Amino acid sequence: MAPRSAARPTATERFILDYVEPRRAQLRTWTGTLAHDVLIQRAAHRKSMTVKQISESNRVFFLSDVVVGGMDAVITSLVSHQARRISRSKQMTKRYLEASEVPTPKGKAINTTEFSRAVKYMKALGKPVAVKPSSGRTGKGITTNVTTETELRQAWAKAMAARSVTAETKYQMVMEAHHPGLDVRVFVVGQTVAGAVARVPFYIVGDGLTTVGGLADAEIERRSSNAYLAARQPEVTDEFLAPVGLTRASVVEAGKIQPLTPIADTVRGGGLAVDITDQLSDDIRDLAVDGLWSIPGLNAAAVDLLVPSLDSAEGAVALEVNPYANITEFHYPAYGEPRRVADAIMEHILERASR
Amino acid sequence: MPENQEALSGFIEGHVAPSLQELRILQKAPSHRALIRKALSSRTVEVRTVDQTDVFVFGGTVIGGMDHRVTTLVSSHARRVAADETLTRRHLELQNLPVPQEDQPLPDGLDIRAYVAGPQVVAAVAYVPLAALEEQLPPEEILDSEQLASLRSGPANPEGGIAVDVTELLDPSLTELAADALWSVPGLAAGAVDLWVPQLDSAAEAVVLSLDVEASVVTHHLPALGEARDVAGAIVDQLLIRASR
Repeated sequence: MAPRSAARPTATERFILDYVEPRRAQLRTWTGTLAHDVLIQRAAHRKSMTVKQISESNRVFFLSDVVVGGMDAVITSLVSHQARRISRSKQMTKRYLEASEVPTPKGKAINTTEFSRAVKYMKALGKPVAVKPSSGRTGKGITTNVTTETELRQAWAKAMAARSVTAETKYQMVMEAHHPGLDVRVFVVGQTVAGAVARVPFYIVGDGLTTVGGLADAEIERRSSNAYLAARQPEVTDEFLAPVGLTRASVVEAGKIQPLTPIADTVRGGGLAVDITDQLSDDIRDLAVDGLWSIPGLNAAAVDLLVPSLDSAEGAVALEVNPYANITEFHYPAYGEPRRVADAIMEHILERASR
Repeated sequence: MPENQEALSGFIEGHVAPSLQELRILQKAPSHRALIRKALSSRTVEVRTVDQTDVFVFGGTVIGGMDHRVTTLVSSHARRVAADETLTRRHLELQNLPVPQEDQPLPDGLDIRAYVAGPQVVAAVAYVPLAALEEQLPPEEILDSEQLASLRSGPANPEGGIAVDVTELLDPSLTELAADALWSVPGLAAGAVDLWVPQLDSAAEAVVLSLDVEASVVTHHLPALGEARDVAGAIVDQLLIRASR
């Protein structure tokens, strides 16, 4: 049975229905994939630069013996000290976005020990909230669409559990108004959008007969020819499915699009990156560029947006500006054209070095 | 500090003694942040404060910012390199710039701090340790009481010495050395370069000691002796030049 729209589809469901499902047969089959830092170094070589390794994480780019840039772990010299400090906290990023009047969901940071304050804040907002660890850089520990105190308690525990051993002592929770929309990550370099992907959660289309486990296994099998996805396959167990209220034995009604994770997790949760660079409206592009520019001294980063529709920035918000973003999903999208973000970064490094 | 201090005593004799009476009173020196703000304001750059850090806005566009003393002319990469002696040394060596020989004392010379903004040195001071100065020129005989107090506790000479402007005394080979040192680090468009210099008129045997991306501009705006240099203005000009991305 063909997938069909729910009575009131979410922006993500609509995108899957209108954009992803029709391309199902065109799943990309990447054979060899390169890591983030290797992509950047290859781009440097293509621009006739030499790359010298100074320490384990530190590299310098030379063009005819002149230092033009460098890389410290995954971030390049296009990122100012101030920008890197801001990016360590979601709450700080939010304040900079607000200072530049870039739309971002209303929210605040709350100490992990102040759960009762969190409950009060949720009631004061009077709408569903998203709960996130302030210092997280991946999607870890995030819960969206929290409406009750019980859900908030669970979300709080999940965010606490996501705390890494290396996390700074000032670990806070960011609570913000839940904002429905398609999860879009735009990589901006200078004033230009170098690539954009929509991030879609791992989903199946029910047939009214096959179990969720069976459909998920078939989807994982289908992706095995894609080297990028094959290296990031989730293990779909009952525990994996619990947050969406399903088990492997559940059966989903015919034609229903069923996400298997609450948010798109492209790292380990089976989420898909779908290239939408050419689909973004001009005002959404502007929103992403404005998001980057709100952070002083930031010349390259991923800007995460939630957009109700790809046709217009109306109702769209910027959630995060992340100079640590991994560029591989732009180079190896599950559907659509690969975008050479690494080349855009190196071109910009050269451009800035010449001033 | 080398035992032989001929370079220093020669400098005191030639460049400090003749003008010591003009020693600046530094008790009420403005702060680094105040000097930067003044330079921003005179160029109609607006400052917005977010969580105790500054965002600089020109014509509605964010052109940079400052987190404590570090402006956006300093990449995160550069900050890390400058904070690590070994990494700094490796960057300097890769550009064939002279660095101190390990396990060997420095030759007789002067401690010079050059501030580089963009392509060039915009100010330089020599640090004269107070002890060496007092030994050679008993200040009680030359300075009034207010100057004496300033000499001994001036805000611009926290290292127990006075800063003497030498911007125009530095040989071009030394200013080039300072600029090359700054540019050996990726993503660094402004900062102080500390040099150890046997002679002001030659780069022979001069070495680069360190880079300071958090350097205060106050020393250059108000050296204890010599001309004031507008480093804050040069920093803001670089921010404006580099903002057109």
